[in-house]
Amino acid sequence: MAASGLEPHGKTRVLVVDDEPHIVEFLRMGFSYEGFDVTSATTGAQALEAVAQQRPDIVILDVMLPGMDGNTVARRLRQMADIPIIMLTAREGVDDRVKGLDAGADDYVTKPFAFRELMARVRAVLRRTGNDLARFLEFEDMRLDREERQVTRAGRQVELTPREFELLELFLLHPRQVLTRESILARIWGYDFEGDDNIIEVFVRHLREKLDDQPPRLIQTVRGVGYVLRSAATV
Amino acid sequence: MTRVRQRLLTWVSGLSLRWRLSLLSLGLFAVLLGSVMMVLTVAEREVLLRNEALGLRGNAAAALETGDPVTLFPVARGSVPPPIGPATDGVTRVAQHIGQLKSVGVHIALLSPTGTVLASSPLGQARADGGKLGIIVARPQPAAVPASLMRNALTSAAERVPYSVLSGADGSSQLVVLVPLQQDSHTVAVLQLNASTAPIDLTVGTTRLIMLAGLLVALVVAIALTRQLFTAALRPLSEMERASERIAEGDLTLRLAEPPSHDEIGRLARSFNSMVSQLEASFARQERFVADVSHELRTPLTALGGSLEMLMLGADAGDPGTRQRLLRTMYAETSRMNRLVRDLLTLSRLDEGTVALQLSSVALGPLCAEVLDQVRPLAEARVLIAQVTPASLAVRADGDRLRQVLLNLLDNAIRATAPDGHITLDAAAMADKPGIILRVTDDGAGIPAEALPHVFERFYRADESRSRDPGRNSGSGLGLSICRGLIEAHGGTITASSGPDAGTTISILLPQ
Repeated sequence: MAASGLEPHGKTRVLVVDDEPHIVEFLRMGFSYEGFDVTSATTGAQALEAVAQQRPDIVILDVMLPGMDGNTVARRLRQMADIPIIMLTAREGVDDRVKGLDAGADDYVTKPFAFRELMARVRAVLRRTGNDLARFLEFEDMRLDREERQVTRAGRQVELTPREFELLELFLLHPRQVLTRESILARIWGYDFEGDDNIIEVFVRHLREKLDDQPPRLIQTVRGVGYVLRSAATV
Repeated sequence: MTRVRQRLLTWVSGLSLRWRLSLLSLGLFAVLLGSVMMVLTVAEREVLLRNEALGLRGNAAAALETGDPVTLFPVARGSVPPPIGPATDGVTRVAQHIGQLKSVGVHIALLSPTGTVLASSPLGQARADGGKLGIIVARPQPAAVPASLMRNALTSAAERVPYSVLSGADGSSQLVVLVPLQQDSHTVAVLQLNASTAPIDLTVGTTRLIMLAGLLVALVVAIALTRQLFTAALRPLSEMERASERIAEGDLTLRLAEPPSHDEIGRLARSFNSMVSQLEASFARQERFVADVSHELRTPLTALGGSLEMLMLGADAGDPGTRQRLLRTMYAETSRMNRLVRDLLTLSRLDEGTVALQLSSVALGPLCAEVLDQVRPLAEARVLIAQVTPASLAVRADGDRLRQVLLNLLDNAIRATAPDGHITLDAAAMADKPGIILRVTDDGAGIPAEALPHVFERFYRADESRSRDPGRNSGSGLGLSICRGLIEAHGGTITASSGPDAGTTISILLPQ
């Protein structure tokens, strides 16, 4: 099933290739959280097989793999399909970057890296290759266009500030999942935000006002935990 | 005086080495030459005086012998001594002569054996040439003869010429020769001959001046030459100074040109170079350590950081199982990093040679049994065998380190063998010399031929990827390097032999 920019809920597929199980684990977790469909491989051979079978939208490829090395895998992948590749490496040298990029990588990230940054690069690469992430996010009568940065409710345009947009985007990416205050803070305001966490309440209030989210609300407060985007009918 | 001395010392130590060496050697040179010069001129003077004395006495003896008054010293021309009377005895005759002599340059006196002056030649000047050449020779004033000299003259053998240099009545220096006059083997009188030492002194003085001039010229030439010589000889030192400065600024690749000579400068250059090589190697080791650590830590840091991010983002979605998994991962990666840093530090210390071994007599039977017991849980169904021949075999080594090595090798063996594989640990005495051989043999996958020479290198893995199992002990790729380091610190060797699918044997030789 090919993902296209037109199918609003089609999940983008990512293939993660690394021989370190702990790295595969957190990448899988992170990409799932971001709404991707994740498959993984631990060797070059497995990676090529996975690409042939599942046709991911993007491949995250570690350079140092047992057996076939990452650059070779990248070259073979290129021959197989025009799938964007982001390479991961522990090496820092210019030569290694050049080799990787020449082998066909679209971008290159050195370890250790912040997952947030990797996600941003993934988004950038997908934008460039026209293979956008699910462009539209919808919930009930709300629709968010990630490309145009526009929100409509019941067909009516809603004006949001960038932060408000990001907050709504986060809710729409995780419908029916309770988001803790800490995770909202980390995602929208960054890991080392030192301000008052009441800021979330302020923004949620603004969002509710602009969306005309009257009770029974869609953006619900979960006392002591955080917030959740849920149909009013659900308890 | 001390202050002057201190000032002098300060000045001297402020001079360059070249100058100090030059001044020192030239100073010695000058002192030696000067001494030789002094000795020579003193000897010269003595020789001249002696010859003069001999001459004086010779003439006196001749005159007395022949009775010819003319030969009794140079007499002023035109002055003829009166003939000797027939009834005069020797002494009187001589006394008469003396009284009338107008000898030139020599004053003659006749003394009794007790020193009383019986007669003396007239004082005053005489013209030697009878007035034609205008040369005036002063007649010396008589000197009082000390008793010791008189005694000497009376008692010494005929060959000796007692003479002395005394001061005359007017202060001038005079050569005094005493000639005993004998009649019938008695000394009846003593002839005192006085001559001025002025000509001799003049000669000696001239000699001294010439020598001094020569010495000065020699010194000047010597200064120029020795300074050149020292500059040339010491040039390597100023080169070393320059090179040292460059090295201190950070260029450790620099080396001094080593002169082919085997002298002190050559040896200094060679040991200097060897020191810089040591420094370079030490720095390279440190840089390598830092590079290794930062590189090898990147992977565990990625896993650790990523897991933390997931927790912060709430990607675990509140699921306690997932959360636990993430926390366990973080803990495992932290432990891995700990092991890595510890191993690298051990390797670094082994390289530098600063690992202290606690040596004692280690009984191999108990040790082998102990390590096998320790790995048994890990080995699961694999067969572990220990063979120690003879059972009482012991070796002088660091027991803890030996245990560390064996555990590492056994762990590798377990990982390399199938679940039903066999692993043997055997220890035996060396055949030809004192020492032991330890072997860990497994029947597992083996090591490919191209990897075999490299297995003991740090971070070398048969395929270029990281260990797949961070949960297991080590896997930092440093285990075998550390084993080698530890065994070599004991003065032993460790080797590996293997073949693909033919099992592996690691052999340790520990000579005593």
